[in-house]
Amino acid sequence: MKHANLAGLMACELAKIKGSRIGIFVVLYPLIMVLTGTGMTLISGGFGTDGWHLLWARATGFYGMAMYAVGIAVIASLVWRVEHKGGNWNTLMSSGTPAWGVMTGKTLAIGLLSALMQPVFLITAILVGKLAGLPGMLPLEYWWSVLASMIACLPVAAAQSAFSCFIRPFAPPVAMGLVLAGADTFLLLLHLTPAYFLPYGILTRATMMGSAASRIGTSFPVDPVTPATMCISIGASIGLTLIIIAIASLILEKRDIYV
Amino acid sequence: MVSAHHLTKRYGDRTVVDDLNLLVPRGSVYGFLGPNGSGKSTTMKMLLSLVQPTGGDIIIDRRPMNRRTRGEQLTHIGSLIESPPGYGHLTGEENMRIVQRLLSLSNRQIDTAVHAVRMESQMDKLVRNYSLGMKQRLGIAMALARSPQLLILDEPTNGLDPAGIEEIRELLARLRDQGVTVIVSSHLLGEIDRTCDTLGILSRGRLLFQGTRSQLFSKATPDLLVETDDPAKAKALLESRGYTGLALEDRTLAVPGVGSHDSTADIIAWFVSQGLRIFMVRRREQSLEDIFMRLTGAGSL
Repeated sequence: MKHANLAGLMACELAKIKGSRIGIFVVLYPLIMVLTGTGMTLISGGFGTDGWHLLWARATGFYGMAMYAVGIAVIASLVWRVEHKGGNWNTLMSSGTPAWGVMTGKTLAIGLLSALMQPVFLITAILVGKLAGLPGMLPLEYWWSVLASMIACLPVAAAQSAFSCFIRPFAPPVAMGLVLAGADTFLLLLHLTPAYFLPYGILTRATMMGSAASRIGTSFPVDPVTPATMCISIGASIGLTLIIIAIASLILEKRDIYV
Repeated sequence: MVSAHHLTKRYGDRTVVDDLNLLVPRGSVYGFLGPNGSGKSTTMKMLLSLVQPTGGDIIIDRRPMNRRTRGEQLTHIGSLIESPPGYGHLTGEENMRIVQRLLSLSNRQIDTAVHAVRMESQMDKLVRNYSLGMKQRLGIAMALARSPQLLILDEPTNGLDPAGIEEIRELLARLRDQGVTVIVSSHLLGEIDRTCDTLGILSRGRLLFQGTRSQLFSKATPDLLVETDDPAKAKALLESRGYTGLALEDRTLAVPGVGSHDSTADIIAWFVSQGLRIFMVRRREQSLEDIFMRLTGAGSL
């Protein structure tokens, strides 16, 4: 008997969440984030001469620093929740699927759903801009930023997947996501280099990428969109994801998670 | 097929499984019996390497079973441990398809497994709407889908009505006929004992007995019942010789632990020599359930 390949493992994970409410969350969460981020500015007179740049800065500000990570944490907890019910954990662990296969399949499923939030975020931001009567289109660098963040969500997905695997209740991993995202943002504000290469820091920097092109100031250095910064962001994201999956798989393999 | 040597599991100071030696013959149905909390589930989890033993080792199909080997070993072991599995928001059919995709199984394997538990007509219903018995059957179908050589079922009759329990018995017998080795646990002896070739009785983490039903009957000595005109005097006489655990039941004295014919004859001869009139001497009738309860209640043979 052979086991499913990576695509098969991810397909299994997506099949498990069919009919659940994760899809609604993936659409509504970024939509609400854009509206809450830009709503006050929209009501109090619009985006002025900074136009799309101000709109994007307002939309991504708090979202990039913390709330996107929290959204990923919620998705991870939802994806793992089904395994913590009834005898599903024992069945999964005695299926013969190697630990790395379990962790990779889950991370890919969580990563895919998390990445899908970004196009929703982008479309909502554009719709808000059009509603506010902004001329032209959202600058191209922000489209690239969305692309980078769709990859940069992977290490956070891997970390949150590990937390939700090892911690049975739903809420604690989400709280951990919020705390760690906040801590990483704090380190970024202190301009401490390690923060640039931690999962939540990479995600924050990817969502903020391109903001340097605008006149809107940020509290920490943000990368311009260049081939080099894109490659570094994507490379660091994939590398860190693999490291986190490897560590989580090792723990899952060696330790009794539930007894 | 399965052997465990000095298998032990401790959590801190608490010993959950204590120096267990199991021997499960190939192609047999092994009944693993014991009260709730006796260590059955922990032992089964150790057999599946879901829980790592504190001490001892496990051999399955002549190869060690541990975290290093479990990936390969589990490909031919089906299991149902503790609660039945199943994703409640999906139908039975969708659940089986996930198993199929995960283990790269054929349609025929899935259909055979579903047929074996008589669930064909229920597969389009959401699992959360299943009764506990139906969930158990789906769990067994999931365990059977990979066409296992070894099947480990933890309390599979939980939640089943008498007809469902009988179906499980028939299923186990059928699997044995097909050459599958089955380890099945229960806290109720009557549910599975007739299906099992070998019984293992566990209490407080220790294996009290392992063998066939007839060996179990012969191991446990039923009380000697002596009906006499003066049971109180008979009791006092035996107590003077150091007998303990004696009980008066109307005009009958119950004497435990008298195994051989010679001992029985000696007691009766002594009673007669002391002037007692003996009306009847017999052994107490006991079911396997009585023996099981006595073993697990007393904690030792």
